[in-house]
Formats: sequence, structure tokens, C-alpha cells
Amino acid sequence: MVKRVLMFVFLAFYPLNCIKVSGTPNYPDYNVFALLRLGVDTQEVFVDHVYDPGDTILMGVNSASVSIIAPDTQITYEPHVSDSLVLFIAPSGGWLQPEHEYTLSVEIPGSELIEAKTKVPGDFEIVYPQNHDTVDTNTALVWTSSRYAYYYIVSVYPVDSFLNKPPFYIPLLTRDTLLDRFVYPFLFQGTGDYLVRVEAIDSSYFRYISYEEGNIDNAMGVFGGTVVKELTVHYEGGMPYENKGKTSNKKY
Amino acid sequence: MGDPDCVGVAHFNNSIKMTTLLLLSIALYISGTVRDSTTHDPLPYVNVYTILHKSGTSTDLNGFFTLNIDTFPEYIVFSFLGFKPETLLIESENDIRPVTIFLAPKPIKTKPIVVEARRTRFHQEVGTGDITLPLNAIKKTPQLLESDLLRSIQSLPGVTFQVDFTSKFSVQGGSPQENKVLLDGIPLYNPYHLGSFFSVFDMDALRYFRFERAGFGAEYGNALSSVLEAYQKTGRTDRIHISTSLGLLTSKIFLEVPMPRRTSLIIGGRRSYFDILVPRLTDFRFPYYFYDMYGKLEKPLSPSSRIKVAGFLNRDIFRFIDPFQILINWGNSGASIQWEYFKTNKRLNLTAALNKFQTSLNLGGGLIEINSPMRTGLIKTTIDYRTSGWKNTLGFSVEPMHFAYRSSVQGMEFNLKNLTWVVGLYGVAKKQFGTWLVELGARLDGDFLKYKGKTYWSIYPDPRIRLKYFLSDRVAIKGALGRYHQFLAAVVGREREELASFSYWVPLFGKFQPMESYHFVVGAEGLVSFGDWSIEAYLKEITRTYEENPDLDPNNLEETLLVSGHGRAFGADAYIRKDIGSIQGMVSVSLGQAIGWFKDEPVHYLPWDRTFSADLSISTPFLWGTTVTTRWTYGTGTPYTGTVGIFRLMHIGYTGKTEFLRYSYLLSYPYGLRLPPYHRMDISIAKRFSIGKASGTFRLEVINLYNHRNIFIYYWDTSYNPPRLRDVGMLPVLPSLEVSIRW
Repeated sequence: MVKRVLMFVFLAFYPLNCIKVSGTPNYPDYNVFALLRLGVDTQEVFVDHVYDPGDTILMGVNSASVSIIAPDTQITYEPHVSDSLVLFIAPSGGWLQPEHEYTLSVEIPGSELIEAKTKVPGDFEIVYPQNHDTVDTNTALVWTSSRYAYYYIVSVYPVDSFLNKPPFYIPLLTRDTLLDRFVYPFLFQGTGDYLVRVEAIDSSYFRYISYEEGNIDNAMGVFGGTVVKELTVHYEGGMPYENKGKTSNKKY
Repeated sequence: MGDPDCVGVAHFNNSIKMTTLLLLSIALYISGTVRDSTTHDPLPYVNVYTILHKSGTSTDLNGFFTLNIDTFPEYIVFSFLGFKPETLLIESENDIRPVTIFLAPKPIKTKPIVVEARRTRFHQEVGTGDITLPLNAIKKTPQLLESDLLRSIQSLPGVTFQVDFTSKFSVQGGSPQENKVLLDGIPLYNPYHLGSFFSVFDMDALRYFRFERAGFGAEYGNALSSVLEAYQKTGRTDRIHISTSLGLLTSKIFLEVPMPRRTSLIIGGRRSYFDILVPRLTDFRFPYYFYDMYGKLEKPLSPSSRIKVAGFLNRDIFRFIDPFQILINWGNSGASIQWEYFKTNKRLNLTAALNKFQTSLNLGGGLIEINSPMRTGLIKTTIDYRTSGWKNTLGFSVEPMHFAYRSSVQGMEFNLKNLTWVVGLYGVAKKQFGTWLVELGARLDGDFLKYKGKTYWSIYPDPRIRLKYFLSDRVAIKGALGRYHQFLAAVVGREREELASFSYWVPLFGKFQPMESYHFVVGAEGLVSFGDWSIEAYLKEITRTYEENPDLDPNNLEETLLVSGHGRAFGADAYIRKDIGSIQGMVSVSLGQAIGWFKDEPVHYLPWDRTFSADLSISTPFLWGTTVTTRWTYGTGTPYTGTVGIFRLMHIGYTGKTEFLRYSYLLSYPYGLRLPPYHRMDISIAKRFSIGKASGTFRLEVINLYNHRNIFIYYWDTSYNPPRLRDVGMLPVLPSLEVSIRW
């Protein structure tokens, strides 16, 4: 009797084991980082593997064929080794225009075509300060609006940091086109020359840097468009907390 | 025997006129309680039977019995192995009055008392899912630093744990938040110390506990998975008894103080002392300590009534001053009063209790302050009575619960509070029909609250049926079927649940309906010459459960605080136990699966899922009068969410060039990977000693004797190329010492 009960129990409960339990999602095999940056001399694309944990991390995938399809032309990128990474590089030129749409195409032998589209934001200008101006922590940073830009990244670096070790900096993400006080946060680390970079970015790049989301078919990573503006300023003064300025009321 | 003021043995002169009841055979009931004459603790499962007409019953967990008498004169015998039996003569109807019987212990060497109790339980209780362990068996089992009730539960079949530095447990696929823990009938919602390392229970103050798994009866509501009910000792009234113990973690004291008019008082407490000891030995100021205090006063008001007043206080304090001030404290405090009255075939129990669980956090001298008291009250009444062979219980309870959450972050204030009423009504009727033991139960539970001007209420009927069919005097098959609801949910993330010292509990209302599950249990159990065994299969359909929403909106908490999900757990557990003779032990095995799905997630294993687990414990006398207890635990690994891929995140660096920023990790589906199997052996060596009138026990314990590295978590160290798999282990080999003395 007990054996019959046990058999009944087993048969009654066995069919319950029919729900499929998920294990591992299917992830792409490749990772691509590609930005079209209007305002710089060269365009770069990085193609890499998505690695299984425990695999050796390589310099990239140098067997890829990378090209950008512009409205009337196609630009082919060439592989270069730079800082132990394999980057695909193409010179900037007339083919890269604001408010134009581009298609990225990456072919890797033995895998599916990797494609993505993006639109480069519109052009803009830094209105104030001007190049080589002297600024202090009361100076406002003002620029015009870029069409199709989703956010702006503002970065300030000491100029001589390019000769020495990487500087301390905190890029600022903003939707405004005005920084009314040049103090956010610890932008200036003492008297000297600084490079101010304002970069208008599209929504794809914003989501990548904020949430690690991608927009590429068959690959991780991002294909985005940005517009870069830079100027050099001279800063006179000590650390930011030593200055007790007031908010600028300049309107632009 | 006993106290002459109590009607322990009633020898009345035969001057009372014999009534016509003998001829009419109208049923009369005699009721009372049976207690240990030395400790005054109620004795459960004492056999109570009539000699002349061979009817009988047994006492329940509170030592209460009701026996039908329909002929006179009659002798009633109270018998329990390990105690001297007592006899009560009932000459006529006039002798029917509430009685309190005191049984004097009689040392027995051949068969332990627990066997007798178990045989009675086997015949009297349906018992799907319920398991008891004698407290002295728990005290013998090797434990981490000191005996702990909730850690001991983890060795029972169907009970799993995720990490071994927590006393939280999962029962047959249910979440830890679905277990109800009661102390003398009072719910404790956060019964843990030190990151749930230990529970708040002091084993010295407990006399008994009961643990019910799937298919628990209608007496318990507002729980989805299991019920653990602990009962405190009564306290002796002959003289003062003191027991103390000193261990690596805490020191404890427990007193039983006789008071006037047969009143008993127990007082106890314990405190950890690393915060006192460590600074004296090193330069480090240990920032944490905890303490417990409890007391209980019990007084018989009359032969048929008794009153108990109890209180408790648990606190955890974390105090870090330099260089940054962090002050955190949390803990329970509460008090209860119970009045018990019995007459003929009825027993009435009235309970009123207040409990407060308080958490407070202060960072940076007031920069961030959080204060969250949870106050609960309880008014409960139960009536047990017998009619025509039915043992019936009716119960009613009202629990007002006040939740408050106040926070201040750099001047920004946030204040949330709510009063919820949880009401329950239940009935249980149990009767033996030949070889069938049938228990029919039903509950009607509901909650009621007002929030932001709206009124919310819900009410749910929950039927519960339990059956037992005796194939023989020693083997039975059993089954249970029931629906269960829980009106509170713990706000804790799935990843942190096992390590959280406490949970914030919230009432479920509006969009969040009460949690719900259905239980189906079938099995068999039996008695053998050396112990008992059981095998059970269960299925739990959890049609509604909740966990903390990782994307909650602080401006819309009532809509976004929780995410709902479903679960299913099924499996089988078995154990066989030997507790006759000098070598005692238990083997238990469990097979099971617990799966769930929340929001948009795919179906996945739940974090406490262990496909297979086994537990073996053996206790045996050893050399030089010592007792050695060994325990070995094995379990297949629990699931975890782990890394299945790594890729580079790139960015534009300060040079304006493409640069590597950091690695990003691709994860499996929730709980899509498995840790390796867990196994560990613990050993305890105990030696009793006597010094004058005092007696004591010296105990040496070693946890994880062969230092097996059980994995808590994996992570990839990407500072190497290729990345290296690292792990964080659970408890390593850990010896500890404890000395306890009793006067």
C-alpha cells in the first residue's frame, strides 16, 4: 500500500517538471564602439570580441572590414594599432556633415553582418568665452544649441596634462547650453591654461554612457554621432573654493 | 505529590449521592492540565485514560486535556514514561471539576520520554509537515558559537539555507519572509541579531517548539510557507534556580524564582561582549554588540485558571564614531498577558500583546536619519472544546499594525505611516473515524486600512483539510490540502534577503493583494522500535508573491514599492530518526525544485532552491564521560546570477581619442547559474561536571571540521589577463568553547 502511494505521488508530481527554466541569454559575439565626431581630424571605430569569462582579452578584431555609408559615398576604415588596441581609422573630410544620417557596416568572416544607423547632431558654437580668454570662476560658459543633440558633455582639462599623466577631471552631462559659473566641479586646479571641450551627443551615445545600452544589430556597443567644439582659456586664481564670486547675470 | 492546594488527587468521601447519570449515560467531561512537578512546565502528550471503561485521550502542547466520563465511579490514570503515574478517583458527578495534575519525574534509562510522546502524537495528530526536535537534542548538536533555534531548523528535511552565516531559512521552496515565527503565540517579524547570524531566542528559556511545514493547519494565519512556534518555560517554584553560560560570543544568565502563592518567575538575559573584550586586547574599538532580556510571570488564579505575563527586549547596536559617525540600532520589545481558563470540556485562552520593532539610523551626526518603528498589537481568543468525539477549536484574532517610516536626508524629510488591521477567524474540528483521522479547518482572514483618504479592505476564506489513514498501529499515510494568505510583505531585495539583519514589513493593499499559495501534501509516516520516520511529497503553487522593486519611485511608493510574481515549489522530503539507546541520530534527505517569475523576467530558479540536500547527525557517548555529536550536511549548489560574458566599455578620453574605460559584465538570467555543492562537517564534544551543588557542561565545538571552502559568491578579477575567477567563501573551520553552570 505504501509503495502504491509513493508511486502515485511520483506520477502525480512528475509532470510538474515541464516548465522550462532559463539559463543564459544569447549575447552577440562582437562589440563595436563607433562614433562619428564632427570637429576632429580622424574618425575611429573599435571592433572587439565579447569574451567568455576566463578568455584572454585581445587587442581587438583586426580581421574586420569597417565602412561608413554616407549619402553619396562609402568610407572604408583601415586598421591601426594604438595603445595596444586595434582601431579602425579614417580621415575626417567633407563626407562628414552635421544633420546627416550614416550607416555603419562591419563585416567579420564567419559571422553575420553588423550594422547600425545614426544621425550626426547639428553644428553649434561656443559663444563665450572666446579662444585664449582669461577666465575666473565667475565666468559663464555659453554655447548655441545643436539641433538633434540629446545632451552635451562639458570637459575641462589642464593643457599641460597632455604632456604628463592623465588629469583629474569629471565630465559634466547637461541638457542646457549654459554653465553660469565655471566652477562645476573643481574644473580649475590652479592658475594655468585649460582646454574646454563641449561635445553635442546624440541619444544613442547618451544611452550608452549612461546605461550601457547599445544600438547595433548583431553586436554590443554603440554607433553614435557627436559634434565637438574646443577652445583654450587661461585661468587666474587659486582653487575654486577660495573664490567667492557671484552668479553671472549675463544673458545670451 | 505536587501541591496539596491543587486538586491533584481528589479523594472524596463517598457521601455524594450517585446520580441517574449512570443509567442515562449523559456525557460529562473532566478537564485540566498536567504539569511537571519540578519545573511546573506543562507536559504535552501525557496519556490520560480511564481504567474501568477504557477511554482515553492525551494532553495537548499546553498540557491541557478533556476526557469524557459517562460512568461512575471511575479511575483516571495520568501516565507518561519517565514520570511516576498518578491516579484520580472520580466517584460521582460532584467530583467533576478542573484539575491540575503534577507528575514527578522518574529517571528512565531504557527508553526516552520522547518515544512515548511521539507515539501519542502519531495517533492523535494529523501532522503533515510538522516535525519536533527535543530541545536537548538541539543543544547537543554542534552549533556556530552557541545553540540557536533557527539555525537548528536548517537541519530538518525540506529546510534549506542560502548561506551558512545566517539563521534565515527557506521551507520547501518558500521565501524566508513566508515563515511565521511565534513566541508563546506572539508573532516576531524580525527575530534576528547580527545580520541574521543568530536568532533572538535564548535556548535556556525555551521548553518546547513546534515546526509546521507545508499543509499547516487552520490555527495559523498570515503565513505562506511554515510556522515555527516556540514556548517559554514556566519556571520552578521549589527554590531559586540559576544557570549561566559563558561562550565565545555571549554570556547568559537565566533565573527561575519562586514567588508567593505558587507564582513562578523566570528572568534571563544575554549579551555579546566583543565590544568590551576586543579593545582590551587590541587597539580596535569593536563597534557592535547585542543583548536580549526576557521575563515571564505565571500564576494559577484557581484550579481552573491561570495567568501569564511576559516581556522581552532584543537590541542590536552598531556604533562607529571615528572618522565618520554611524549609529544604527534595531530590535524588538514587547509584552503579553494571557489568561487561560478551563471547565469541563472547554478551555478558553485570551491573549493580549504589544510588540514593537524599531530601527534607527543616524549617519554623520544627523546628516541622514532614518527612523522606522513597526508597532503591532494582538488580541486573540481561542476556545477548545469536545463534543461527540470531535476535538474542536475556534479562534479569533485582531492585530492592529502601525507602520511608520521617517527619514531626513540633509534636511529633506520623508514621512510615511499607516495603520492596518489584520483580522482572523478560524475553526478546526478533528475526529477519528475508525482508521481515519480527519481534521477539517477553515479560516476567514482579512485586512482593513485607510491610506491617503481611501479605505482598503480584503477578506479571504482559506479551507484547510488534513487526513491520516492508519495502515497499522505503526504506519500511516497522510495528506493535506489548503489555501494560505499572507497580508504583509518584507521589503527586501532578492539578492540581499539572506543577509539582511531585518526587513521592513509593509501591509499589502490596493494594487498589491495579499500573497497567496496553495499547498498539496501526501506522505507516509511511521514508528519503528528505535524512533520514527516520515516521507512526504509536496506541491506549493504560489499564485502571488512580492519582492522589492529595483526601479521604485520614491514619489509614488504605494504603486512602485513592490513587484509581483509567481512561484512553484515541489519535491519530497524524508527522514528517519533514532532516539533510543545511547547512540542517537537522524538522517534526512530532500529533493525539490523552487522556481519563480517576476515582472518581465523569464522563469528562473529561486535563490533558495537546492535540488538535493542531506543531513546526517549522530550523537554518542565517548571517552571519559563525554558526548560527541557529529553533523554532516550536503546540498547541491544554490543558483546565482553570474557573469557569462565580458566586454569593453569604451569612451572618448581627455586626449580626444577612443580609449578603454572599463569592463562590463553580461549576466546570466536571474539565478541561471549554480554554485558548487555545499558540504560541511561539524563536531561537538560535551562533558558534564559537578561542583558541589552546581552542575555544568563544558562544550567544545568545531564548525566545518575539514575546512571545506563553500562558496558564497563568485566574481571575475579583470586586473589579470585572462581574468581570474575569484570567490568569497562561507564559514571556514571555526572552533568555539562554552561553559554553562546550573545551580
